Amino acid sequence: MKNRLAISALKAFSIYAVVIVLMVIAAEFSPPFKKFLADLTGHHWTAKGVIGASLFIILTVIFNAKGSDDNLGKNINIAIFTSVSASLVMFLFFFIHAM
Amino acid sequence: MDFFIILVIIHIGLGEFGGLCFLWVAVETFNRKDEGLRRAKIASTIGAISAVSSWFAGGYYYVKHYGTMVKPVLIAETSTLKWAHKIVIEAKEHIFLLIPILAVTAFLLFFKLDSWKDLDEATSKKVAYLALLIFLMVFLMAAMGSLVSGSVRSILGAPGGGI
Repeated sequence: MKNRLAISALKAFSIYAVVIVLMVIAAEFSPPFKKFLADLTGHHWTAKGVIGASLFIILTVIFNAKGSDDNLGKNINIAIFTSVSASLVMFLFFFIHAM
Repeated sequence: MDFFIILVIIHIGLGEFGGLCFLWVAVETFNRKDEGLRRAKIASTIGAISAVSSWFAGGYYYVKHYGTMVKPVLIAETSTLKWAHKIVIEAKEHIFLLIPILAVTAFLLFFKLDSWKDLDEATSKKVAYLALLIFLMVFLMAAMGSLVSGSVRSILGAPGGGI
């Protein structure tokens, strides 16, 4: 199936972006979770990146192995929407959190 | 020159260069010329490598230097620019996490592309918009980074108020 790897990576990215946002918010509200992240790699920010990147790679491999008839254009739209939304959510979260 | 100054210059340089690579990808994709596909593939590869390298350079700077040397300046009791850390850097450091992975995703898309004919025109435009988004996110990072740098220099009494 054409563009299978691209579709797999796009799906994995969209999930990755949501997981990053959830980890960011959870870490700000839960000191034990933030400490858990820091204990993993020495810094909570590094841990979010390592967990996220690992998740992206694993999901891309799984989706690519499974394959599907999904539409490339639709998955690009979802990835764009997720990127912009995640960025806005994180900015607004820290804006409100700082007030 | 201090190692961490060199590192932040590398972070900025690689990041912005990566962003420009994806602007190039977007232009080639909008144009869909046969010879442009090879250039788009090269640009997406170099762009993804630059983005990931920028992540490592910036990450090392952030973990080893920013927390102990820069953040205390911004959030000091007497600082009127605490928002530069609490809002701008906090948002920037997390939004940044999206960019290298999105860049790698775009690279993987072009990696397997044999011909523009593999994409219909509508999908091709979406690919171009994805590359354009990476470029815009990179320059958002540059703008946010400039705000923070300017804030630190202003607090430390740099000539011109930090700009």
